[in-house]
Amino acid sequence: MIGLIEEDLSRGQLRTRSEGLNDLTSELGVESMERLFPFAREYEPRTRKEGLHRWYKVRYAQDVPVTRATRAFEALPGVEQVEVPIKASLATNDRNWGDQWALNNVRFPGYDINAQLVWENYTAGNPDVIVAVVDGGIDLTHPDLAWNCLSSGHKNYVRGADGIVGHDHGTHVAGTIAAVSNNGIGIAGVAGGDYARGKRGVSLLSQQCFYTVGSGQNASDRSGDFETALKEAADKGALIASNSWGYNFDENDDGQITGSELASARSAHENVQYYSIARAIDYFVKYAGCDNDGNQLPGSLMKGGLVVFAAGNENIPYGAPSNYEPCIAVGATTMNGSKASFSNYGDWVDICAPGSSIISTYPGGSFVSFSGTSMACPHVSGVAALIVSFFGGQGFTVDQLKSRLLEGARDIGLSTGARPIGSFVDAYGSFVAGDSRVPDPVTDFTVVPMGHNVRFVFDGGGGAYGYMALAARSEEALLKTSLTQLDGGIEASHLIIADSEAPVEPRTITMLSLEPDTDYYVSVVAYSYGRRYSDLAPIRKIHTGTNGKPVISTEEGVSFVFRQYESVDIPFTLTDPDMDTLRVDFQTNGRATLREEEDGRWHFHLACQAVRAPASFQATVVVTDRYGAQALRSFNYSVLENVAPVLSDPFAPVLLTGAGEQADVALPPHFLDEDGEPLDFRVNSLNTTLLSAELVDGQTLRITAKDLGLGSVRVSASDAMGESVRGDVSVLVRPSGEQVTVLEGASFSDKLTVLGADTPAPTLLRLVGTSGVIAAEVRGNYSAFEPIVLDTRGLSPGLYTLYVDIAGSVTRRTLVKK
Amino acid sequence: MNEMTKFPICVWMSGLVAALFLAGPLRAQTTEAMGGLRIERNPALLGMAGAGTSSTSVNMAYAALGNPAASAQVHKTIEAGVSYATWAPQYAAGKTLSVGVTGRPAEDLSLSVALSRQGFGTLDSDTEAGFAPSDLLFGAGVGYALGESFSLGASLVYMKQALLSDYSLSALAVNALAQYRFAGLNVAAGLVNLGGKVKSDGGSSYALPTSVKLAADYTLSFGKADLQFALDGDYFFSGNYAVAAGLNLGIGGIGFLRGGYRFASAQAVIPSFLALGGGLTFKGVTLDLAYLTASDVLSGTWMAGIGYRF
Repeated sequence: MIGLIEEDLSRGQLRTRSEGLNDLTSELGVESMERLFPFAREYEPRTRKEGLHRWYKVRYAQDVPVTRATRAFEALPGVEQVEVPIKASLATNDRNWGDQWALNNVRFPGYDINAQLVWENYTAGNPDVIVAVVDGGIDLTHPDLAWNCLSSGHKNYVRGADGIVGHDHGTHVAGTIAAVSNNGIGIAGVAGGDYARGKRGVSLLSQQCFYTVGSGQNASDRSGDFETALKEAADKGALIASNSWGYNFDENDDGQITGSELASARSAHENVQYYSIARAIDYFVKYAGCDNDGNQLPGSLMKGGLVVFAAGNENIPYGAPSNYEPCIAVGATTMNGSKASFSNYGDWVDICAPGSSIISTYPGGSFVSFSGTSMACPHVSGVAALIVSFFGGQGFTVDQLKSRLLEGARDIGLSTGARPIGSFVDAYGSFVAGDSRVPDPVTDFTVVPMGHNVRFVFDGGGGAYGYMALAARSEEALLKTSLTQLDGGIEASHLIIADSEAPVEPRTITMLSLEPDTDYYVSVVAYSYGRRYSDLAPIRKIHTGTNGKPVISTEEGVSFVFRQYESVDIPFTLTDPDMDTLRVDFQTNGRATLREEEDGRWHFHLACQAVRAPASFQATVVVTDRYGAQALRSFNYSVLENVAPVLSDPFAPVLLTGAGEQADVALPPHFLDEDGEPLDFRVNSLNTTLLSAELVDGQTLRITAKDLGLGSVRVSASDAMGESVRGDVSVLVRPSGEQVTVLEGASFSDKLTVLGADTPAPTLLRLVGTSGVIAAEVRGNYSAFEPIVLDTRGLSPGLYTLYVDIAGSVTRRTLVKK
Repeated sequence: MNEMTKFPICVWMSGLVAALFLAGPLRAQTTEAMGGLRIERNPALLGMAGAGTSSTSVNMAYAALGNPAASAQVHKTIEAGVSYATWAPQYAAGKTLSVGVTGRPAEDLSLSVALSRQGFGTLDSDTEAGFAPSDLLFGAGVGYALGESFSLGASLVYMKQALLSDYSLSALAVNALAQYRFAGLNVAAGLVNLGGKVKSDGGSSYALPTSVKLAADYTLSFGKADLQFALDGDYFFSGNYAVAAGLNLGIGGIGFLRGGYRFASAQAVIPSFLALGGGLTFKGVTLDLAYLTASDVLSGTWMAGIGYRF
């Protein structure tokens, strides 16, 4: 029966030879029913063998509840499993610019993925290794990616066409895996080859499953069939599938997984093996690089495929589908080697990698920083691709790849905590995993005491990856301790050479923070990358010196006077002659703050502070080393009283000749602030039907006339403390050449407003009745901006002649008093 | 101690007064409505600055708008006249055309009617483009003689002002005068423009230019020459007043030279002016001309008229 139904559906018809399915199709308003894993041409045999042809994707009427549709299909005889698609989400937290610390961690050495040693000694990638990016589309034309992208085979699973649309997330992930290295552009990918030497990196295959619609705040992602994309990646020859996505359980989109959302996440976590994505993963793991019978294809570098997944960004102990056992689940770390706050965790997380502030490629040829397990996942995919690039070949299996990847990972103390995220991925470690060589021991060394610190000087080389200096209170303790797990009370400091071929030469290790004035027994031991240790160098007895006091140094003074809007930043350095860790305490009765910059310098920041009257404050920095020695520095500062700004130069009137005409008025020259503060200007029209006002460049008033008449614009200037002053700009809008304007027009009632010349001028105004009576006579210096306003309530209704003589030029108007 | 408390009070008071004075709004005068009622339509009387209301020797064609009582003492069958004037040419420049007829259907009864229209220039307004305001005046009067020396007269005057295309005002006024003559002296007295009030759009009411009028004239003869003295006084209900004094020198009963001065209080409906005039009469037809000067507003005003009396 299944075969008959499949035959009917393959013809594109919804009506099948199953009456039960037909009834359900009508009842639910089924619109389409098609294979989740489409017909696979030459790979159809193995597709059917794995039962993937039996998964169907059903679209039905929007008004049918999901629960009803689910129950109806579950009740239909012959249906084995019903799965409601879970919305997928991108595993990205934030966007930041940053350095490429994941490959070269200068600030916190030891917490990058150690890929440079692999590039130098083994490989930077092989174009025969295809890495499928099951994600948003890769910007295939990005100048830092194009060289490593396959020329064909990419597919858009959202729009159902082959056109790949560059997507920020997918492009970012691809760049981490295989951005072209050593090409003078942007960044280096983990397996990006060496452009300068003409060596391409691994090949990127874009299996686009996210597609952005809209832009800006309205942008949203549509997703396609991840299962199909993953399965078909194997059919296209991919050996590694990088999946920086996971199921989204944040249903209310509040950034947290709580209550029922957490229950849903747990349910998915526990039942992932039943989902269709699990079938796709199984298929990829089994058939990548293989023929329909599961045998490694000639020319394939690996039998089977590796599926790498981001663990998720909800900081919860669940993650699906990343927790599905055959996958490699990747957690995220920060620059200093700690668990990223957002990373999901649990024993199911196989490995961790840098995922915070990761810079990578961005559509359009640019580069940005993102954070998330999405960024950690491609680091692991890239390392896996390096391993296959070098070790791959006939007989190399995905299990061997997983073994190397996981065994080579370093324990940086993350997997033993309450929220484990596995060991830290280590490219070089994966390449030397299984190395059993023991480095040559250090035969002799000298000890130079520096306060209560000690410097070890010795000749090192001969196959050592690193050296460890040891110090203990007794010789026995040194002799008895395990070097892989030191006993308590034993101090150790390391020197990493990271070059087993390095020649023998003088090496130095400085051991800090030994107890002052104390006897110690010290020695040095060499070790390989695989932590195989040489014999201890001969043990010596030393006596440490006394503890020195920390020092606070600054080139600035200790007394300051400033105005309230000002801030003073005082950089200073804290040093300790013994290089002890220092505790910094800070006290103030004002608003001063203290912070440490990334460059290690400290900054004492006196911030803007409102006071009613001049006031004095004090701030004190106290630095204490681990032995209680202190240094103290006090800063005294006074804050002057704020002086409000004033309108120092009233605005000249502005004359405009018609609607639409504009005038710009520079505001700063009209205001004075004795404190010299930058002023914040605000403008608003007091006659909105007549004028509009806007602020241009923050300092220029732009007035636009909307109608004829006299109006004004109010300008207020506020200083940094919020004290303000305001002034008005009078604006007259009247036709060019008009000398007299009557605001009321041809008729008036209780008031008559007469605007005269543009500038003050001798003016005679008469308002004369038809009989000849002089109803009003005004003489004086008037202008359009100092208009003559007559109270005409006593004036009887009738016809009047307005006679205005401005410096000998006469204007007459016939007006009606109503 | 007392000095110290008084001083600031004095300063405060003077400051307040100054503030009130300086900050006070400019206020137009209170004026009477329908000022056009007081414009003289008779060019002969205008030539004497409006004096001569009591005169019976000038053309009585416009008696319906002037003194109907005097017309009852004139022994002419009919008097008619047409006058044209440009009033206050520096200001409203009203073009006034007036027509009047007075007849005596009986020896002791006179009837008179008069019509006058004063047109003005178009308003400077987009919404009133092309509209020219105007005043229209119509009067009808009756005079009745009680014996040889005494008469009574009254007239009803209707005035309409078309101010805007959709806004006009109108009013009715009554003139009521008595006329007495003895020993060559004519005396007239009565109420002029007694009527209701005109309301503005805002609801305020404004009185017509009503006045109590007293007028007298006397004529001296020197051979073929006659010299008439005329004096008119008006006391307006608004508190204003006006006095007009005029001379009319007649030569051989054909030619006339006239002059007069009107003195009016500052807010009187017709301001002060000096009038010059002249006239000719021949076989019942009269030609009169008046010209006003020495006035801020009315200088340049002229009026010409032609009349007929038999």
